[in-house]
Amino acid sequence: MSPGGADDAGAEAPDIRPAFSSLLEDSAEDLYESAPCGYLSTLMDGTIAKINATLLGWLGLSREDVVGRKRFSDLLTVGGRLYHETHFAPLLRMQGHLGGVALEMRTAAGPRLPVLVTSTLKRGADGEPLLIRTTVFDATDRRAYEQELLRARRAADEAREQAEADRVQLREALAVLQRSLLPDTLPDLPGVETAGYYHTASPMELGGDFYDLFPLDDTRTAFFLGDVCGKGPQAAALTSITRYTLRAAMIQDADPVDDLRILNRALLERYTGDDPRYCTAVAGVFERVGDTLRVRLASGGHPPALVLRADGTAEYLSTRGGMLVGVLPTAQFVGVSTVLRPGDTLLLYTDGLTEARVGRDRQLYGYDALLSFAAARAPAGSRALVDAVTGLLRYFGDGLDDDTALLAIGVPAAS
Amino acid sequence: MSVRRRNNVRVTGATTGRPVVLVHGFGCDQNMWRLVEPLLAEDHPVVLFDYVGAGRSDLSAWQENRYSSLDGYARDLVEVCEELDLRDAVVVGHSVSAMTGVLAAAAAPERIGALVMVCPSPRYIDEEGYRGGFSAEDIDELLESLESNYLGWSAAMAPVIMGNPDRPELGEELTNSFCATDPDIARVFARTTFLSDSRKDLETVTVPTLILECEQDVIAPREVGAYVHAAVPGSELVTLDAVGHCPQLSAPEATASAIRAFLSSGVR
Amino acid sequence: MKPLTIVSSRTPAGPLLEVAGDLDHSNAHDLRGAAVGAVLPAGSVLVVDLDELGFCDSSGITALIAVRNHVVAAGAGLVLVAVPETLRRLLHLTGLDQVFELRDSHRLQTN
Repeated sequence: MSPGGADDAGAEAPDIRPAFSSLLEDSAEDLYESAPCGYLSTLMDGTIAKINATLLGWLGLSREDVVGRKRFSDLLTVGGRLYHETHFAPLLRMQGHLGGVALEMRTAAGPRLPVLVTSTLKRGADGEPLLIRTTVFDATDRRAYEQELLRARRAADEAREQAEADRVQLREALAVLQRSLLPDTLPDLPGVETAGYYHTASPMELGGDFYDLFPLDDTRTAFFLGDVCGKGPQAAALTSITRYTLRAAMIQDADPVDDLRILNRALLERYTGDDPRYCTAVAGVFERVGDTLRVRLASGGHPPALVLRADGTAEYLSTRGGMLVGVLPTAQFVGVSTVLRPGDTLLLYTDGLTEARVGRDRQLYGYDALLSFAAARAPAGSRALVDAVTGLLRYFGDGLDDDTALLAIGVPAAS
Repeated sequence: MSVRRRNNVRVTGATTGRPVVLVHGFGCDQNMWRLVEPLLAEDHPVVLFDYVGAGRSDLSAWQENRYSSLDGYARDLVEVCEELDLRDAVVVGHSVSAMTGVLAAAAAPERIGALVMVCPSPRYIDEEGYRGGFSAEDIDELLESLESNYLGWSAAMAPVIMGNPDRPELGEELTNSFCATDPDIARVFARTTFLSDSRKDLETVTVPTLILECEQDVIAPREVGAYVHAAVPGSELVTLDAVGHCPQLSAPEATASAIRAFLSSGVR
Repeated sequence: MKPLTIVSSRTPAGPLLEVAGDLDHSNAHDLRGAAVGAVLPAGSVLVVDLDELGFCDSSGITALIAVRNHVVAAGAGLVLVAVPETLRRLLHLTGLDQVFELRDSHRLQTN
């Protein structure tokens, strides 16, 4: 307290000035003893040299019990003592000051007293440490609050970990389910090169694209690729119905237009008019004749198949007019045929590829760009073509927000 | 990640002479040696490092599995010795690291030629026929104490509490940082330290060993010093006129001269 | 995302729905609901004006199909007017341009 402060305080009211200053003079010792916090001074070995009445009162100890007899660490709980030795004391030695450390003191009555301790090293003229001055604040309320905070944080951590674990589990389940909608591997067929690829837009959502390829007999092979409406479990259920209906149909009847009609009937029967479920699909059969493949395919509302020729050109096989499968009882499906000669490759894809957004204006990638891309790569084998298109999908980055399936069928170039 | 960066390895002192590796214990980091280091540096190359998880080590290299047993810490020590290609080094280990030194010396006998055990304890918990000074409940209390400090400590601790220890170093604000670690890491180190039992390992020591104990040490009382002395074959015991568990801070000269005397007594 | 608004009114030929905003899975059922709510005597024509339609994905297609199924069940007709280019392309690709009657403006249609 500066005398100036007392002057200022008394300047306006001279009559209370003597009482005020005597209050200040009188309070020095009393302030130490009965301050609202604990005071304590120890020698460098921790022996308590001085302690105020407040702290003695909190601890339920008498001055004789403590001064010259106990060390500061003796007042602490065992855990606190370990903490004091491993953290508090080294820090104080090195920094000369340490503030706001949470410790617990033992009281004579038994209960522990949570405190916040601040210590300062007092040094002699030669810089040698002489003694340690410590203030002790009762932190009962604060500790209770902190513990509540800590409990809440633990609960939040646990909830977060659980949520993360659930997410991982869900993602794994979805991946398994997604794989079940696609063939594990494409069959090895003599004189034919095939390749498939599936891009999943979100690992947390089941996509609705599908493809399959399976031999019908020694020379003929059936294949299809499509896209069901919607996403998630309902789309997966629809994909499953679609895939197995088409498979069964194609095994019975090798005319792709008929097969799409059968699928159309099955979907219309399964789903009602106010909850229409449909898909776009291209289904086909190829037959090996000599070193060529005779391909017949049919489309229901699906983007046109692309053919890369051995001579370096590329073209769409138009199936314009084929309608969504599962919408109308009288739906029309459009068939088309082609022959793949050595070096030719047929590419089926879903509209994730052509509907991708590119460039700063997020323009539709579109059919013209895909045709140019294919022409620039023709001729290309199935694997090389699928790899190239996969690279394109990667290049789209977040411009590609839909699942995308690819299936390529080709006749290897004569070597 | 090189071992040097991973363990924040620092080499100071003489360019020739027998290398001395100063190993910090539970609680803080290599700064614990800052008063002793210059006293040894004149005659010895001095190596300092932080265990992974402590001080300015690379926290991303920390794995709970590895650092849940003293062997993991011993591996850090051996890897530092290998990185610097030390031969016949003197390992000065404080507190739990006195035991780490024992394990490392057994694993890499060609690299470690002598041990100085500062306030060692092979077992902190009392049991029938052995007094380590603590009960299992006491250790739980320490863990609690650690926890409340990570929450209650001054503002400098806030980033750690908030689970964001990678924020840029802010000089002064990090005054307490060298005694501060991620609370999860500190809990594992505390558990490993105070629940370990390395009494059997003491008999395996074959290198010359100096044991330094303090007159009064609540963590490693003198009975424990005597136990270690009796168990380590041919060891030498020196009782320092110091109080507390960190004589390298409270009595740096006495600590350094005891080490120097031990090394100049023709220890090989 | 522009919110979807559907304004219902009547023309001499039948009810008119003016659709504005983005049509996706979150609001596709609103369009079907509006069609179900319209009074559709047999032989009348429901006109859906899509001039102000913004984004429209496959859920929008689903909603239009549901609307059509409802209209056909009621023995009425359906006309889509002012179909935006992207939706027109989608209808074309999926063969639905054969199913839906598309016109440029409903005002011409009322003549």
